Amino acid sequence: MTHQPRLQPRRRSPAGHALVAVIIALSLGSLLNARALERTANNLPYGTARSVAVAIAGPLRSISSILLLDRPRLALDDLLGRNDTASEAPIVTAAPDPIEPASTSTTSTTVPVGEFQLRTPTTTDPLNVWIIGDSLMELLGPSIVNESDASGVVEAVVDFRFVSGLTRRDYFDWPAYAAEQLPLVQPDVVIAMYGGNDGQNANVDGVIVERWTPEWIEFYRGRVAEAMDTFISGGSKLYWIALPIMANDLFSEHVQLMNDVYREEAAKRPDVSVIESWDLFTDASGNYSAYLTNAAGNLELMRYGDGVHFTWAGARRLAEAVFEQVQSDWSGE
Amino acid sequence: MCRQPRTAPLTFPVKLMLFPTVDFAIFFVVVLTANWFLMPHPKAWRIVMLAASFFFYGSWDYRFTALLAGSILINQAFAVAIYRSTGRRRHRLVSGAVAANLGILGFFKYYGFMVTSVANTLEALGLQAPLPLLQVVLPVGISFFTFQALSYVIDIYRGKFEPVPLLDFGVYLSFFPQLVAGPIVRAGEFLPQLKEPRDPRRIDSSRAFYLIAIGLAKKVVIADFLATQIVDGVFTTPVRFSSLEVLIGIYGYAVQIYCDFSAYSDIAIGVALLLGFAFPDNFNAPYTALSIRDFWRRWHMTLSRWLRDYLYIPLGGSRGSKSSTYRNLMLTMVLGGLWHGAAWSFVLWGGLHGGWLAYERWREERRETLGLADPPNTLGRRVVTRLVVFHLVCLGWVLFRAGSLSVAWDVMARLFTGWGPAPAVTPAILLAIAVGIGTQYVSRGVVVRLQAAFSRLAPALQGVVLAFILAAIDGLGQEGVAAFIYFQF
Repeated sequence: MTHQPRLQPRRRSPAGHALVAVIIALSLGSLLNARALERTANNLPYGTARSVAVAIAGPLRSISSILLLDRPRLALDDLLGRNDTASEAPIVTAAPDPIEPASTSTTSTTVPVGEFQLRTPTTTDPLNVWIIGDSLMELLGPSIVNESDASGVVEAVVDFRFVSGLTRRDYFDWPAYAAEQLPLVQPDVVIAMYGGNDGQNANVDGVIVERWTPEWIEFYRGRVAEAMDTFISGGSKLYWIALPIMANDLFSEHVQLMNDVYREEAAKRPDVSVIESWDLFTDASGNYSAYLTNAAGNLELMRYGDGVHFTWAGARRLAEAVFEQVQSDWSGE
Repeated sequence: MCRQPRTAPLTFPVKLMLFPTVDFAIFFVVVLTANWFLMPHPKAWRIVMLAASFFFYGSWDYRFTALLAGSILINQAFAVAIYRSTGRRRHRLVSGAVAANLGILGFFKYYGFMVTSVANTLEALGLQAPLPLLQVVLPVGISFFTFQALSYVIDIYRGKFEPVPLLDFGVYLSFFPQLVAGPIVRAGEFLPQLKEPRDPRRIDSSRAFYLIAIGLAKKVVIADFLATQIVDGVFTTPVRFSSLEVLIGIYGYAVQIYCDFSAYSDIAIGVALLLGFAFPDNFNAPYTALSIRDFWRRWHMTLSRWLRDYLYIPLGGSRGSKSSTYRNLMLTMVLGGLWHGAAWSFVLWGGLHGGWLAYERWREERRETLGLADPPNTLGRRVVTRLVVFHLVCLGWVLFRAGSLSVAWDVMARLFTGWGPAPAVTPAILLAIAVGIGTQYVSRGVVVRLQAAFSRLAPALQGVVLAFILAAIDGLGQEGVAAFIYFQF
């Protein structure tokens, strides 16, 4: 007869002990993770909540650093190949195929300088497309990939970031990221869509600029210009998708301000083309409508309940328009 | 302990106070402290807990607190009326309560599906009707608190207990730990615990801490990682992935949804334990199941039991003929599928499980009829059976995750046609899948010993250990936290 080791029961503890353990866990955990907490605080929209969070997180990080409590996390980050300011791995929703060096195939059409026209892709020399943006690209990006796949001459990769944009470079720096990625991806075409998270106050040389003011518009223009210049710096053509009408009237008004910036900046750059999306999501009266009839004549829900993001049906609707534009630019029709 | 909340993949944006965030940590410390300080004052405790739960729910969208309040008032009114009535009136009242609850749920959950279906059917018939095209926002957690409310009114109708005071019912229905994604805690399980103040001298805190830590690890380290690294890509652009990548993507989703959903349940149960409440378990190593029937005894156990007691048995259960039993199984699972969302893929997912449950029952009955002995319980047989069941469940997950039949078809087609290399399959992805499945085979004894050893540490030392675990989880996790998958149901 064998003796099973006797299982000792869990010891129940007084509520006070549990509370002490919770408070120590969270306090010490905050010190161990002080750098991450400070980053979180800095990423908050400018305002009172951010000021309070930064005021707490800053000293917390100093204490953590003095007590060397930030070392374990730094060691873990090193082990994982991350650093304090490095961005995480991108959310890639299409398998990144190995990128071949830029083709010198004679089948490609030379792009006339100053004219927005794409080379004609072939199955052996497909059009490399890099699709980037914020959460609006979550379903739109894959829809563009699916839409273009049938052509057999497009290789598209989606690389979007939730909660990102052009206003808050401290949260995610799209131009810097693009500058790193462009030599690796070597896209013929970049398709970009931003703006969903851009309507927030900006920090210009330490001064907080209120959103939607003329100063803010100029600030945003600079950010858009910089992004456009970066995206086309490697010789890529850029399609910039303007924002659609939104359910909220006030947000729609602000969207129009941003769309004007996109159009005006694109007009200055021959390699940039704006794809309009506003009218794709309006009803016959020109008003916002969550439900619209698709190409097959069926009524579909196009936008989620927030009145901003696309459903799959909405994403497909816009993706069709985007790919149609891309296709016509390479076929010259 | 994680940072910027981000939206959930393939769902509408959720701004709810998520468990793995600083916001929730601060909220919970305040509530936990108030919980035990106010325990000797039952009325004040109830008012504060109700307010805390409404604050938690209102952090998503304050307007929907009115819906929660409405559900509390309507169901309490029905409960009292049912309790005071007899005969046909009592029957009519419970029918009214069920209709009201399902009506509200149906409006929020199926309005879009219904209005587009009706409009397209009329269009096909050459008819046109001015349908009100409302954009309805699905309130987070409505499916869960509606089922809890139904358990209350139906159990009162069945004479299992009397209506409790409105404040008690309000605390039960809005109780924040399980409010938005379960487990589905029945009135009969919660309300008796509310009658007497919880004993502050005997908290099962080591189990609570274990569940919270393991839940955070499953969600932040495994589920979100698999979602962003392979699953989302495979299910949104299957054409861009090879067969092997699609296969790993499907396995990845099986692990993701388990690690995501069971994580919420674990944390909810752990949080409730720290507040002094015992919730039923919701998961028990589901991928070790030896049959689909076994799977449903291990997966979302509180939903399975709810469907059994409030749908399958009232439909007749297995009391009638064999064919009626099969029909009841099928109906229960199809309706269970529809509970998850208004899409044919959910119907088919439910049908797949219902059909297989009926098949298993038929096979068992046939064996009994023929007087055949049970097959030998060998290791090899168990391994093969588990693999078959796991792959059947995975087939169901394709339908579940795809969201539409056409996408499910694309994924399955790619699985068999996309031959080629699999650069998207990395060792880290394989490790996450292996850990997600492997941990389900860890013996309960190991877990119990671990919890017992932890319970013997001094509170300060427990706090230190937990702090390092939290920091490690945060460090190993992705940037930001995705909303839990089951928020959309």
